[in-house]
Amino acid sequence: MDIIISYLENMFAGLPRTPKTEKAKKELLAMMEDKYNELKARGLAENEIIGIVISEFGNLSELAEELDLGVAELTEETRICVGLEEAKEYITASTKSAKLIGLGVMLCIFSPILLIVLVGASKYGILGIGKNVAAFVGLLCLFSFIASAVALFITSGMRLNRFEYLKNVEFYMDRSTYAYVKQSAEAFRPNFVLYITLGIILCIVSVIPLLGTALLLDGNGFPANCGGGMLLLLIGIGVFLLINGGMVKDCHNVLLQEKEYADKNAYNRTNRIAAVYWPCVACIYLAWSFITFNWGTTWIIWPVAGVLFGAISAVSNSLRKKDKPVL
Amino acid sequence: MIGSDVIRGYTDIMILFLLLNEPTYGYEISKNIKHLSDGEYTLKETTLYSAFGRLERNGYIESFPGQVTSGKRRTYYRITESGRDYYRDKCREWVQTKKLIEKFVDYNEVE
Repeated sequence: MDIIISYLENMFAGLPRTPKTEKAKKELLAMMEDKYNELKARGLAENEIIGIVISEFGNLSELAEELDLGVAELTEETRICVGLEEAKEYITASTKSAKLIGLGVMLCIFSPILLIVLVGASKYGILGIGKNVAAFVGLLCLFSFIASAVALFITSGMRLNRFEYLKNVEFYMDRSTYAYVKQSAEAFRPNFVLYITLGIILCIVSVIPLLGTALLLDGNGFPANCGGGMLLLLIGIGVFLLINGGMVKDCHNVLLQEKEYADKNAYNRTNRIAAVYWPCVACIYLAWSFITFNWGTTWIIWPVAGVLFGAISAVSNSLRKKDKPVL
Repeated sequence: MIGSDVIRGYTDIMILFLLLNEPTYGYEISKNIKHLSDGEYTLKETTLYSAFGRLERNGYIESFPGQVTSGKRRTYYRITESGRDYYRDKCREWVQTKKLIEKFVDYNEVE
């Protein structure tokens, strides 16, 4: 009988508690209890009885008139309830994953820095290391950074996977959970503004060292390589901040169902493009570098590819938007 | 198999029929409907409850608390005079409907 009571409770969960809903619940329970008792007296097994009683309960939308509620409110009975614990876990997981994914992306951006600097150093005979040693150490660093980044992406992806459903289904939460999420979102807002502002400033400022060396030294010499390294360093930190701000904000928006969160399709499209694009860029970079062995120049492919990627994904998203019928 | 859209218009007849002789309560009605239909038709709890509400608002039935049996007080329903009129009207309507639809039923097509 407990299962039947909790079934009914769940059916009514999320509906306003009015005398009408309370009365309906009481009457429905009385009928279900009578049925339960009779089937029990007939000697049916408990789980069989529960199956029958639940399957013969009917549909809550039929009660719209009785409960003074719209059918829409009642047909949302399939909505999932997101409790306080679930909301807390999602926020914690998102905050942690934002750090890990941010770190991963930062590592990817950092990965060619050592290569660029060392190869430059060897080319201009600064640290007294050979071209091959420089390339070897630099590449070792590049690949180990990328490998660690992939590991970070996988672990954080798995952590967040459990909460993916929140983006696809309509759900509801009780007032205390809503209040908690709202408060958490409010508390994060100043951080969000700070992260995004700093992130954007760093990305803009990042070109200054490279631009400086290009203008002052005609883009040649070891300082140009250091400028390239600085560019990636600053972009890396900037992107880390942008990801941290964006992901945590996104998580709050998902919970508050503020539909502001990134268009999931656009996000997926960008991901699909990235999955093909970046390995291609890496291929071109490695091929070009190994063929010419001109590691001092070939790194230029990365900032160019980065800007180009931004352009490609923006164009692909704006093209897709035009496809949608305007309602 | 009877479509739920078809039967919806006639749940009132079923319920009122079972109230004609004596007042009774929710489960008793749904049990009797199942019994009289030889288990062919089960009135869902939500359907029954919404029918009670509709019939009561229209003044066709009245609810009242019954005697306490096995520790609880069930809500009983009794049919009113206008309920009896409504029942007769619905029955007449059914007879007409049946007569009309019959004209379009080809029994050769029914196995």
